[in-house]
Amino acid sequence: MQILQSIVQWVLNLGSNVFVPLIMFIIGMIAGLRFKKSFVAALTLGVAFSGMTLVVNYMQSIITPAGKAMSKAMHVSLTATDLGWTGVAAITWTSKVAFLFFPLLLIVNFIMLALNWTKTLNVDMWNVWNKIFTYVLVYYMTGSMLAGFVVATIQIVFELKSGDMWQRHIQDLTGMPGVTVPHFITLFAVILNPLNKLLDYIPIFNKPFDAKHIQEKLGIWGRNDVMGFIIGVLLGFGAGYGLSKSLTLGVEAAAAMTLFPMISKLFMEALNPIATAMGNFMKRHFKNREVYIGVDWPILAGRSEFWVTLIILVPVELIFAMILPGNRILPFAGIINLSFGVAALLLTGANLLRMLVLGIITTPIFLYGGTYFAPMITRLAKTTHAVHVPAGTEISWSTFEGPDFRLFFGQAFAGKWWAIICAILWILGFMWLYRTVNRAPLPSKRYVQDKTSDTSANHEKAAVSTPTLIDDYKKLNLDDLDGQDFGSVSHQTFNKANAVKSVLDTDSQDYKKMNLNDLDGHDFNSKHR
Amino acid sequence: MASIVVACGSGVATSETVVGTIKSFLDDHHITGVDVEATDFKQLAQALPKFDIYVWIAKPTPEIKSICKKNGIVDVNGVNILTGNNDEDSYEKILWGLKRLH
Repeated sequence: MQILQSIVQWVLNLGSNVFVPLIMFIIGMIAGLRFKKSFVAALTLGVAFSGMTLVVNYMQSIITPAGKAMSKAMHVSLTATDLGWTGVAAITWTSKVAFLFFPLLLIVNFIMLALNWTKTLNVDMWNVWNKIFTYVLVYYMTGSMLAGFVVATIQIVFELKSGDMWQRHIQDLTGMPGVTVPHFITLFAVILNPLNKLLDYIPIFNKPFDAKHIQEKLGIWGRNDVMGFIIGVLLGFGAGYGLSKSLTLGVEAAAAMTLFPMISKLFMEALNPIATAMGNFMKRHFKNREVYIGVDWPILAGRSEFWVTLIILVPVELIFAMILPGNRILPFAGIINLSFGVAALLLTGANLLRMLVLGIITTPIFLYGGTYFAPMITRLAKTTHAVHVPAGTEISWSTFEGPDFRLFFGQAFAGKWWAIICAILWILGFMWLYRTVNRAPLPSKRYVQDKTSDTSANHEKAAVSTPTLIDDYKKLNLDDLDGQDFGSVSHQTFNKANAVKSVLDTDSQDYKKMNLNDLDGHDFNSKHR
Repeated sequence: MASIVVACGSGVATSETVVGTIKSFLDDHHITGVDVEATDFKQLAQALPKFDIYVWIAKPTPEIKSICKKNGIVDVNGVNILTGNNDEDSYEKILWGLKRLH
């Protein structure tokens, strides 16, 4: 007994970059994955943790001193480094209870489906992390693990209900039937809904607005490295660094912004086998029922309005960060405000002007949310030793996801009376939203006033259903290429030989002069066949 | 080297899921020499021309469609792969796209 106890203690004391992969390996083996696959997945997870530690520490080492210098020079106090969702997600996965949330999600979804309380089957196992994160925050606010699990469960219920609510709007926006997005970030629409209703009274917000051309012009600013560079240089100037040192900081910041997503991908790679197994398990059990398959939000991200709004909001966030009294966050890695954008896109039916106004109004909510939760994120990182946070500084997330829900429900369980009232108001707000969304006309029909925009919407639909190339792939058998090697095939040979013949009218001579880079940033709309 | 690109919001979560699923499909069919990558929508227009096949999760904008057309890039529905509904159709199109390279 003594020996068993000390073994358990020894395992629990392992560093999180050993412990969590170990759990992952065991779960993989239980889920019936082959040894090799489980082992590689577990090791990849460990690599992702260590890689994230490296990149976050690097980012801290360049941003924190500059932030300090700027704080002094400009009489602000921006001491919390912004890791963005990728950084916060990485730290969250190091939590030792993380893997308990896979079964929690499965069980709640199963019960809700069995009782016909929802039509949504959520197979998005990646976003289990935001339930884990809620648990951690609530645990820190209340000191009770049970409260953490209860609030995470409440979150799952609201997510599934929102999946039902959004489905027909998502079908309209994406043209894809049977899928929905039961994602936590869409719940910010509870806050946006009353504001959006006010905009109904102003005529200009009821007109359609074309964002496509703006998006093409914004192209380069959306690149992670370019954004990092600009923020880095500005930060350098703000800190009084001088040109040479500011440019250096710009390149370093660009490096951090570029490396961040590269490391984050490893998490996904590691979790993929388990997530797929769980997702398939869900699908198998509800095969004969009509369900909406719940997936992650990027199926919506093809809308130009989305990216135009979020890129325009970047300078807005920086300005707010400087002028908001009490804000401690210096926006950096999380500056693209996905936590706002997805909810706004769905609620407004992709109306650019509304999204911009709502985005500007609500930016302080995210910054204050990030400021409020900064000590808790820092505490989690310190507990799991995920990253090193220097004394006197914090880590946080400038576009903190769902600050309203997490604050109200967390503090309500901590017994704060104001939070209990807010949580009740939040639930009423959700019911109001649910009714509003169910009654709202579909996005493509909502703002149409003149004929021209109507036809352009139809035109776009038609364009989607026409495939780029001929559809004779249907004759193919899935085993036809078994055992073939594509190692020697080159992209260029293909371009010259086949594309011209089979796809384009333009003569091949013309085509050969093309370089792959010739297309960068060009507008091909007018050259459409 | 044949190359496939998948795009999503941050080029991290959803696209990486689909990348993993396509990789295991190719693996199961012993098809080698195919590079499968993830990217994000903000950088897609610039990255896309160098790929042979584009697997989309959000429907392609006219800009993306014209890049596909101009470069003879096959576009494939990746949502089916994500949800598992009618994913065979998507795999067929990927294979068809690869076959043209040979």
